[in-house]
Amino acid sequence: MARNKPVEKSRFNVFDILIILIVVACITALVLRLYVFNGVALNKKTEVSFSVNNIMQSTAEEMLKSVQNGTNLYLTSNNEVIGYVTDIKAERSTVFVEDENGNQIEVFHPTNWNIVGTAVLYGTEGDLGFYVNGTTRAEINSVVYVYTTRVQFEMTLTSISAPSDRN
Amino acid sequence: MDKVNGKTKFNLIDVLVIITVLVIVAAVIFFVITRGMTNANVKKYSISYTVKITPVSEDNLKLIRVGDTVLDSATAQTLGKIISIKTEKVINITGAYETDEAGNKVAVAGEYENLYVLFVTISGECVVDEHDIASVAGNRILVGAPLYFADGNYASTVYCTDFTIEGGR
Repeated sequence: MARNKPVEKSRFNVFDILIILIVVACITALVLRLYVFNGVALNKKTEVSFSVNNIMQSTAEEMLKSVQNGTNLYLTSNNEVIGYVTDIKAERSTVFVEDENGNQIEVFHPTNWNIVGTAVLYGTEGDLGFYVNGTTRAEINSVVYVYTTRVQFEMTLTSISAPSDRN
Repeated sequence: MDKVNGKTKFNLIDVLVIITVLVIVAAVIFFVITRGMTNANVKKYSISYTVKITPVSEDNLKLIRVGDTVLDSATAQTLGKIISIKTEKVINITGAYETDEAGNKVAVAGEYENLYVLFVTISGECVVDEHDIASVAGNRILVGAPLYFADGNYASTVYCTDFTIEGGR
């Protein structure tokens, strides 16, 4: 007498459900990361003064020519726009030498120039102050590495205003 | 998975999970590959750019020659060919100063005997991105941007001082 094999239907078990939940969670996390939380929200801005020190005269001239009010600044490390320039001018660099009495005096450098200007930078506000692009803490004398479509330079921050909301 | 007669067997849900995982893996691989291909399809432009090499000792001047192929010493990719070289002496501050016509006190510059600044102009090919920024072999070509120069005889970190892109871009 032939015996029928016991037939068992496909049924969910707890491991199937776990696997499905994990896969769905991974896909959801990926989508959220790519399309919703793609970076820190730079919802604050601050106005800073900056200087670019001891550069060649030709570089200073190139900066004056190509960087104007409204020129976007890109962060060197991630190519994101982190603000824009509002003012820029060139000054001669200085050095200290001794005068005939042996006193230290400040005189112009024979070849080098400084660029000084102001810019609006985007970032976040934390317990310790303003963070440019959410990563670099803005402090007097801190350096922000930026570029425009013509020049790349190191902005040394010389003053930082109180952050405000970015419109 | 189900157990039939004590044996573990795939069920429909297992197959669906495996297909889902395979689709995700394929999508990631496709994304990575096509991102690389996008760069390869970008239009190329001729570019000439000048880099500043300093200080170079007198003995090493002959190592950098017009016609040399320049590589990025970090990636070994070609940055272009040297088409001209301008040489100046490295200056120093002597400690003295003079008064110029406008009445400004200006430090007097001296020159080092055996140290030189080289302004090397390189001709190559660049790509231009959506922000109008040129790059050669993955290096942004901007005034003040660093490059890792190597011409087979001499290597140095250099800085771009000027550049011109074909068509005046």
